[in-house]
Amino acid sequence: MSGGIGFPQRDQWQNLQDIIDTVPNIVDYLYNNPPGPYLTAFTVGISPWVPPEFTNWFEEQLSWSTGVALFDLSHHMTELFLKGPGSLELIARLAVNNVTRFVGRRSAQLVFCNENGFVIGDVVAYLLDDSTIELVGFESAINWVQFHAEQSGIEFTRDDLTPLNPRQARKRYRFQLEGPQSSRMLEKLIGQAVKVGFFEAQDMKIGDHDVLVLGHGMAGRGFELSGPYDEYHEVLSMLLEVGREFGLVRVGRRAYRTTPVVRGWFPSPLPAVYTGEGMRAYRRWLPTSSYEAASSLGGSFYSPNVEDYYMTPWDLGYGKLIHWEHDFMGRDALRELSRRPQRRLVTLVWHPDDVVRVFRSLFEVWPRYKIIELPLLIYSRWHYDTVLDKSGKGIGISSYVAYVANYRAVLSLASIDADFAVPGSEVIVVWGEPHQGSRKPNVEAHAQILVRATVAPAPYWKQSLDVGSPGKGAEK
Amino acid sequence: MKNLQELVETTPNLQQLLYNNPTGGRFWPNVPPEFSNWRDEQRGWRETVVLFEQSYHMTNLYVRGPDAFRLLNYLSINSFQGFQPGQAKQMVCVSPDGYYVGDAILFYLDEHEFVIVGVGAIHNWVEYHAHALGAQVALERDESSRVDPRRPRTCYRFQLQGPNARPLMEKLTGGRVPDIPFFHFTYIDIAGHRVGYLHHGMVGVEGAELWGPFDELQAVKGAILEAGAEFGLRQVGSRTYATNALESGWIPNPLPAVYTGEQLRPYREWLPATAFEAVSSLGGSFVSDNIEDYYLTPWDLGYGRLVKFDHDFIGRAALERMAHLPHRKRVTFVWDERDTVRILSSVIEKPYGHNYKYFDLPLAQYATWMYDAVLNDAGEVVGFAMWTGFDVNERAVLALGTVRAEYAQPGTRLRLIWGEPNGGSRKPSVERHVQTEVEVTVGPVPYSEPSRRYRETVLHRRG
Repeated sequence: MSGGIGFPQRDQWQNLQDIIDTVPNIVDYLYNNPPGPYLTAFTVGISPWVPPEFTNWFEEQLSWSTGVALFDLSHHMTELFLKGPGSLELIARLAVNNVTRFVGRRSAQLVFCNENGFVIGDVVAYLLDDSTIELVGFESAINWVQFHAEQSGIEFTRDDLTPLNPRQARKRYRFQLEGPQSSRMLEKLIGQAVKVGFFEAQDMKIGDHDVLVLGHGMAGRGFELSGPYDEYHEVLSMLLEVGREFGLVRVGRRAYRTTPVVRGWFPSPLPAVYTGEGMRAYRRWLPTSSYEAASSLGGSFYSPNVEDYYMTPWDLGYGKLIHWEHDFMGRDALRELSRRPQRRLVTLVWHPDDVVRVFRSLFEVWPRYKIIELPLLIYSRWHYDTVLDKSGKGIGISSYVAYVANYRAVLSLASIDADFAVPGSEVIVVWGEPHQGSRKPNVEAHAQILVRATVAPAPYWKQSLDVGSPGKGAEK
Repeated sequence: MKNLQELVETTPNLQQLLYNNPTGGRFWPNVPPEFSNWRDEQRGWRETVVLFEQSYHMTNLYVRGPDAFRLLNYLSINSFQGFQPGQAKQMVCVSPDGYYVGDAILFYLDEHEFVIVGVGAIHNWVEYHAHALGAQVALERDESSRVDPRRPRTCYRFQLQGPNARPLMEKLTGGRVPDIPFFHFTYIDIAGHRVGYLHHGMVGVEGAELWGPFDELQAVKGAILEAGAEFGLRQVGSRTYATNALESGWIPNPLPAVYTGEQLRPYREWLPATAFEAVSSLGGSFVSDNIEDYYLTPWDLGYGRLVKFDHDFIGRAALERMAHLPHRKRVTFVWDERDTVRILSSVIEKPYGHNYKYFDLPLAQYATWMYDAVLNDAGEVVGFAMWTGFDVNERAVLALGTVRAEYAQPGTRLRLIWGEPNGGSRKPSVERHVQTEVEVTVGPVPYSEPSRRYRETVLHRRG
């Protein structure tokens, strides 16, 4: 029964709750779903907006360490604009964050939890003007906020990711400059010295264009620029023009999608919305085509209990964002959870010999392991691989995984027990799905393999030398 | 720069110009990279049945008029004896000096009406000669979607290939698959639509090529997909598609031999500086300042049996002179497994700047015209590898190419240079890298046993 095939009731399904009420187990359903439009549009699908590569993904990755990279974020995320009185109160009620700080800096990474303290999603938020809040991110968070905005009668506009956007045009363009040359390049664009803190947004002018500039990047050497979509082409050509002297490299979607493992940002936890009576109304509101119903779960971690996939803010490295001094959804539960031991977000550096063993198995009849595709290894929207200690005991999950040429390594983001979350400690990642793999179409029949990995901090850029660091090129 | 001739004259080194042209090695527009995954899609044509979506990447040139037959015959090395409407041919064109210019599938649609379907330089060649020879033909050119992906095409074109292609065709036609010889075509009805059906096998068993009006694409494809479910029909994405040539043995990308020779000057003056011949890229480890070193004869490419001196054609005299000389032979180079793993792993095992040219799975092409040098023990270049990729069905990297006859015996061990010299050209698809040697074993063409058996049957049946 892959992704709904074999369910005669399928035609009558109207929302996520209908699916849950019909299928024997929602985990099995999601585990056999096709990757879904939200993943395929930007990995295996056709996107006329951002090509897979402008040059080659390998050198596009290197550019953010050695020069300056241009990322185009205008198309793959969904936006929600909240307007008028009540919108800030709504954010305060839903987000774990300190909203006063958000208002002061005009930007924040907002994290939303359910009543039990498990994460539903996160977004980047901007205060565009006194009465407009812009939320940018994946649908898990956008849907959740929109649902509550509707309930509270707050005015909003939704702008879907471009492949699923009926207008195929957007409200805002969004570019990022990343790398050691990004400050100099931005100063040249603005015509004056720039000082903007991490997750701080300021209005600036590039030529005649009003641009919202956000401090955002690895090692404080990156910026995001956004503005009205009508000005997309003009701003892009100015970036390309000015970028010439700084060796600006345009980054395609193959390389761009590897940035989360370097930034230490966990892009896709399973939203904690599939259980709980309190969430029933929300599940009835989510259509069968929604991100929550139509995306795929995958990887070696499998549990019939969907709640085993839920994550706490600490699991994802968001513990420090929790602002206890206000009332927000999930606060009481989080208070309880905070007294228990927490998992930690770390980076796992995969052992090169084990990666090579997977490459070598291409030539075997069996065992043939789940292919390691470069540079992005994940094959489902919600990717969960089991992490074991050396005795074979489960100690957490490894999720987003990619090869990064800057470190010449396969890196994954993992959430593991605190005892093991120590740099240098050795763990094991189970690569590949059980029983020769799920029925997701992008999963070929394969065997599982144990991959050794070494724990490193997240974000990885903070502690590791990359090719841009002096002397690194000649090492090894 | 107005035309190719000016470009050739003003460029100090034509080879270097083409070698650094920014065109990469991917030319399959409008088809998603994968429908399921490339491993299972490759297995599909060996084990069940696949649908190749060919509606977009090729150019169609319709040639209509009283001189069409004569013109095309004059441009083809092939015999046109007995050629009739309802038949197709792999048409091969050579230069006056007898070197390969292009090949494509030529459909004899109706009296005075042909269509040339394919990639590369052949359409320009035919178009020019139609004008230059003053032939009484009308041309209609339906350009590859690479140029404008959104422009509707004149027709859709699919292939069904694999062991279940026949049962699927039977289901689609209600058990009435027309009994026609290989490379003959007729028309059938699918879901109420009139569909062209060419008997064509690309992967070792009887298959079908189907076409019809472009606005019926969705309806016909929908009917095929629905009927195909019970036969394990898989759609093949653009990542996988081009690797089927590795098994069938067709070399898609020789350099057209049009850059030299006084006789071709007017042709080069006719070709704009933006033409395929001017903007496409050379790539690979073989580098020679003499562009003619890249030219290949029909025999080099396995088209020797198509050369027929029963008619007058451009290049005939040259081919007659060449016919008795030694030729290269088309072969499959099978990469050594350890060398392949070493190359795949170099992104991890080698420090920055010491990695080998990245091998993108499953197709490793990174330029329009790939020429990797194949060496004998003495280090002489004795052949080229031109189309390289990984094939799950054979569990090996296969490279189609051509080699001097004395090395063409299956089992011969040779060395191939992987990667470009001096850190690599300026093609954007080329990252800085170092070269490395790959041991290769010469194998037959087609490499896959089913394809070889099928081909023998078909050739035998045709006498």
